[in-house]
Amino acid sequence: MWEAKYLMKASTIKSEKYFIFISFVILAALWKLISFVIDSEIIFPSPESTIIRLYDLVITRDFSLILLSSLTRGLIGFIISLLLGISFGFFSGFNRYFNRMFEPFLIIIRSTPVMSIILIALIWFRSTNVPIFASFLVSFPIICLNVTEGIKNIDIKLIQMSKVYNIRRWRVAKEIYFPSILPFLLAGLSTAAGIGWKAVIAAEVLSQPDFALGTSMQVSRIYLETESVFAWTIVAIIISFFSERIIRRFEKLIVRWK
Amino acid sequence: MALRIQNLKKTYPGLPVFDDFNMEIKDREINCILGPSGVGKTTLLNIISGITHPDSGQLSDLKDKTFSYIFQEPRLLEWKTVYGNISFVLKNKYSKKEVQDIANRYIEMVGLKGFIDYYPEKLSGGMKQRVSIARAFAFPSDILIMDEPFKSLDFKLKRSMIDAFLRLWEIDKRTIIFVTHDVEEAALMGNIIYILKDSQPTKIKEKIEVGLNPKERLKNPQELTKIKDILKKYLN
Ligand SMILES: Nc1ncnc2c1ncn2[C@@H]1O[C@H](COP(=O)(O)OP(=O)(O)OP(=O)(O)O)[C@@H](O)[C@H]1O
Ligand SMILES: [Mg+2]
Repeated sequence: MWEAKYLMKASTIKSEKYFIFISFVILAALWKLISFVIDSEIIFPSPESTIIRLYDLVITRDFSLILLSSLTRGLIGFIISLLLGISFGFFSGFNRYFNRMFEPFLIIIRSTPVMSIILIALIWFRSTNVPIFASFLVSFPIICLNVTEGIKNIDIKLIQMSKVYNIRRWRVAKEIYFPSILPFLLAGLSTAAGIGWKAVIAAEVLSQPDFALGTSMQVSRIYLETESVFAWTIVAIIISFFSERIIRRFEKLIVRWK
Repeated sequence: MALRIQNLKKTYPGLPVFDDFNMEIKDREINCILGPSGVGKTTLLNIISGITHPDSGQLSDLKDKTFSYIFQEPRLLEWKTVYGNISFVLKNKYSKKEVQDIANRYIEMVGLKGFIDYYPEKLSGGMKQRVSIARAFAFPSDILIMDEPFKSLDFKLKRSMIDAFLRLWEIDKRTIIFVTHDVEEAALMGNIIYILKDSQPTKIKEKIEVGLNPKERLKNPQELTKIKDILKKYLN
């Protein structure tokens, strides 16, 4: 009985993987079909030529430098949002007045089009700092709001319980506050990383730092190398996918109780 | 010595719960509070344990007392296992080795030995309640507060928890404040039984002192029935 159940579960997982595979096959087939109908590599390159171009790009000397530069910008923006987002989110969660005062700022930042942020940053900063600023401004409100939400979700009944049992303050912080906030923080990080990365690339397209994924896309577009635009896009998607994966892994590692 | 609650007043917006309420809690006895739903039993326990502040009144002899509290809900940390939830309250009191011994002993007592590494999410309601019971018993307190501790347990389990509780209490006679709806539980365990009046604000309707030791009551069904009949009479 137990075995039968176990086997069923294992086979469901297998067949789920199978469906993901099917979805990729459909995607490739559709792509091939459209490019076949349009029949113009400049307007809609075929999957083969895109993959070949991707390979050509990857083996160039500059590829790793480009990738590393863009990733570094994204990471710097992310870390700044993380530090400030946690600090401000913390104050917001614990102090109602601060929360009321601070909330309009967040709403304004969140409602500002990413393009406006980038254009304004272009006026203010050196080209390489524009993407950092853009990714910071889009991810900061998300992290901040999530931390605040996590703090508001702390169960007062657990705090009462810890008071009755005379638990010391730092242990209450470590063993009740922190784990209560953590799932919210991690969910925020995952969203922020995704949106921040897209903002980095958009900002790079306009600010044109020397080595950058966005710059490469823009240059390819100017020379009508559509395969390259597609190929760089695939690189961006893969990075986005893996960064999300890493955060999820991290989440599973710490949030073991769910 | 006794804890004395005098002239207690507590009002929630538009709802007087206590007004000039007086009560005495006897040291090292099982003080049982029996009363209908919503009269203010939990509120009283929260005032005694310092969670809720009264509007006015004196609670004498409560300073420097330590509490264990079986809340009406389990109040477990969902990110800690059964073991983790119990060691959580023991860590500052004992050495590592002692924490292990004590936690294991009480987990075994409530019949959760096989579930020691489970997170609360994977436990049933009654199992969570038992973790909460083990946590309160394991913690070395002067006063043990229990707010309907045996609800959501089936008859057999309830009986074995009560047995375990009485055995423990024989060895370690703490002051017990025990709230229940259940006449049977009150009759089995209470040394002093307070019956609360179904009114706002509530008053003590009756105070019954039971002479017979709880351990002997278990062996004496006639006496038990007699106590139950008295309680039922006052409740209606
Ligand atoms: N925080 C609160 N704010 C406002 N009213 C409250 C609050 N806590 C309790 N009350 C009210 O006080 C009254 C007494 O509540 P309490 O929880 O003490 O009852 P109880 O005797 O424990 O009931 P039960 O047996 O159902 O647990 C209820 O009418 C309840 O609505
Ligand atoms: Mg109650």
